[in-house]
Amino acid sequence: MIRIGIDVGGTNTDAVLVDGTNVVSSLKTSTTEDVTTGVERALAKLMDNSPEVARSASAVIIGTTHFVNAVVERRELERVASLRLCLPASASVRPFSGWPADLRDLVRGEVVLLPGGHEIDGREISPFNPEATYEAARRIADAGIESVAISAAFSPIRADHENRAAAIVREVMPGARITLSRDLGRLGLLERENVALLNAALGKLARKTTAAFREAIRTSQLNAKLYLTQNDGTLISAETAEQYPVLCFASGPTNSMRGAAFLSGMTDAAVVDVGGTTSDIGILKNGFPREANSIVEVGGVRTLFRMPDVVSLALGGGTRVYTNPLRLGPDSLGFRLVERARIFGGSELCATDIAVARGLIRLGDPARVRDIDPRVMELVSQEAKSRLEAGVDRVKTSPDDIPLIAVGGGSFLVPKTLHGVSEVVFVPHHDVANAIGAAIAQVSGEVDQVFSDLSRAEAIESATALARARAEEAGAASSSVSVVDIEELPLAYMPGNSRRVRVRVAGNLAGV
Amino acid sequence: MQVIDASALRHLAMGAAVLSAGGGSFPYLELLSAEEMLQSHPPVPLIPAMQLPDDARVALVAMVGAPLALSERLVDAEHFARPVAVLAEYLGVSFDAVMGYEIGSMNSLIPAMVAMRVGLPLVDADTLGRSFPEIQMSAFAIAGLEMTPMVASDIRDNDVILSTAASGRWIENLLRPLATTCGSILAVCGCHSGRQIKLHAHLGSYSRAIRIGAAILDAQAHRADPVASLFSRERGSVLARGKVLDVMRNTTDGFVRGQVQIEIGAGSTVRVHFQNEYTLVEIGQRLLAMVPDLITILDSERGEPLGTEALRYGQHVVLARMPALERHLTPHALAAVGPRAFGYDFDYEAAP
Repeated sequence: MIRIGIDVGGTNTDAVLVDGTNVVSSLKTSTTEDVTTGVERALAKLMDNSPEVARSASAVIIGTTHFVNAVVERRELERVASLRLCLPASASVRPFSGWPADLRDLVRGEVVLLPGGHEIDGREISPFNPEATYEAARRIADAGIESVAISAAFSPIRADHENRAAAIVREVMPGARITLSRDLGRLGLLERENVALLNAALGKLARKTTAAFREAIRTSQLNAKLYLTQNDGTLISAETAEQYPVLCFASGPTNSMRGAAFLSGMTDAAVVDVGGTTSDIGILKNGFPREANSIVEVGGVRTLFRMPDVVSLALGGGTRVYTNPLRLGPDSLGFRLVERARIFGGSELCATDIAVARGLIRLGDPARVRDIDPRVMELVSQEAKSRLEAGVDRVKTSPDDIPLIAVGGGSFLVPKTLHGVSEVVFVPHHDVANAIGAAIAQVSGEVDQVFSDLSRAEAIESATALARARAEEAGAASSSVSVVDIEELPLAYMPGNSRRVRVRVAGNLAGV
Repeated sequence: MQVIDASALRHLAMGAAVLSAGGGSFPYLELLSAEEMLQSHPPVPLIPAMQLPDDARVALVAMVGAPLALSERLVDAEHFARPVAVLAEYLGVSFDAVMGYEIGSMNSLIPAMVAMRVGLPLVDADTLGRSFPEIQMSAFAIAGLEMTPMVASDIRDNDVILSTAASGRWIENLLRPLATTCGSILAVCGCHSGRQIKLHAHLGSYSRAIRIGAAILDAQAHRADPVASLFSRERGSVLARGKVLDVMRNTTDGFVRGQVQIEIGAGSTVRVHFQNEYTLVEIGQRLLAMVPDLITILDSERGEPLGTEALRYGQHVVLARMPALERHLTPHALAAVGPRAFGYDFDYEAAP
């Protein structure tokens, strides 16, 4: 099985060619403004490096921060309609509540609240009203909006009202792009609805981007299927990514973590990915990034969905070093590292200069950093060490020492020993770990539901069966599916010893 | 005259999260909803209880149910104003003011929203002085006041008038299953006189919550230490600073019970027990605080209170105690809100 993995970061586009578990070829190119030119170049170089192998690749798997950047930078977003089934409840906190004004003004189109939605125990709040839904759909169509986000109270427990509303919208507006909140988010109506609204706003951009990626594959003369990596470190088909671009928001750090797991052969460890500006630290549990259980703000909007639990530190290869008074960052030379750092002939001192001066890595012209005061070196290393230690401690779930896998172009900044860390593991190909994580990505399925009047074991069993079905539906080979994560939370003031159970499974892509 | 304007609302929300003693989180959705109401309603006056005439009729309101339900069926002022109208009609009276039963978490903002909705002032008092899990812990129940008639409203056209109940505990017993039937959210309203409030309620609760919230948020804005700021304005003290080591939780009878261990130095830990709210602080064999002391765990940097559901390993926290309110220290009150009411086999002792 031959696959190509590509990670499009803010600065670099990394690509690898992987045959089974063997890394055949890897490279780095610059990320381009339009994203796809960088991908095209990366593919062309891989073809140059190993034409025979590359030509037989059956999948190109791309991780990109393009969609989340569009939200953060407020560009290429489209106006969306919000249709929420909740009445007579929930009327006073309307869709788009709490959004930053600039983003809301760009995205908010028609907002319609309708009767419907469910209670916590799955009964209807009020019956679904087809007439009112037809009328709402016509109103949305008349307003010229093409993307609709549909949400309903407790839809993660009962999806039927969102589904029925979607059928009516599709009938009235056959070309509309429809996002259902239950396909994306967790319990928490406003936050789940926010995810659906952001997703709907990215609909056009997602189609444009995947079309360009497909074109890049075609012009490279490859006969490979396109996949994108998603927030949990697994992959989705390009068609699914077009429908759910929000699922690709956090693919950068997750790809690194998955790559680290693959390269080290470890399944449970902390991972630090040291880039040019930041270090991202996360936890691998059963080989997958642990997910955040709390609200994550994206471009100022509160969201609650499948996102990795990642701590970002201001520490990277380009992090500037000031000597009077002595301090490390937080600013970084970023992509200007290659011209401004001392070792590359520039005049600004950065963390990479210190690493070269200390002999941790050979890069540029070491003569240019020979005059650095050893005390400066010592203090900078101490500061980097204590930041990393604090960062690892923040992602840990227990006081026990755990191993730390160091990846990324700046991983030479990670010391060999750290407090709270049992061993620091350095791996080959660490600088393209993210692209490797994309290349080896699996398929996942997830369930997050409230179960009542079931024993703990029964609740987990039901949730697992549902998650498996979802993974298989997404293309996983049934025999390879295994459980990645089980979480359960008992709930207060609820009948029948209710518990909320979340189960995630993953397996290999069938037939690739 | 103080009014509940936008900044008072934010302070109130933060202060009420502290006064929830771990039983509730920051009432984000309720704050959002109240802030939106301010676009179309004038801010309500906050009046000291002592200004109430003896015969004033005050509508007391609260949400009874499961907070999780409110994360999907979002709070609606219309719904919470409904039992107020039903009770007024049932009693054949009109109300003079609105008040809350409980100053903790979302139940502090709901009365402010109802006051805005019905156009009445809000009384600066509540009946719990903080968050407690059950109705019999209310100062009115402790004082033996009749808390009925009480109206409980569903979001649909279902209103239940509870004309008489044998005790505060019976109100609790009767309302819980009703809440479950109505989607785990009930809007509740009772009526009390100005005299009853002045004699028995916890006075100044709203200004206290606003003061607490302002202390934390002002310090955040000025990059000062929020915890220091809090205890320069409010009675209480830091018991320990440290790192969360372990959290254990389970549910029984609709309660989330458990304990959290906080490492406060090499090898030394402090243990905080909870039953929805934090109930007990234990270090070795010594008890540093117990209900009805208000025990709170704050994020050490931002000073924001952490509910029991938000605790996890590695958080750097400040464990603090705010001394029990005077009204909670009578033998009668302690029987309802002291350690024995939470199943411990010892009596309340104030920390040294």
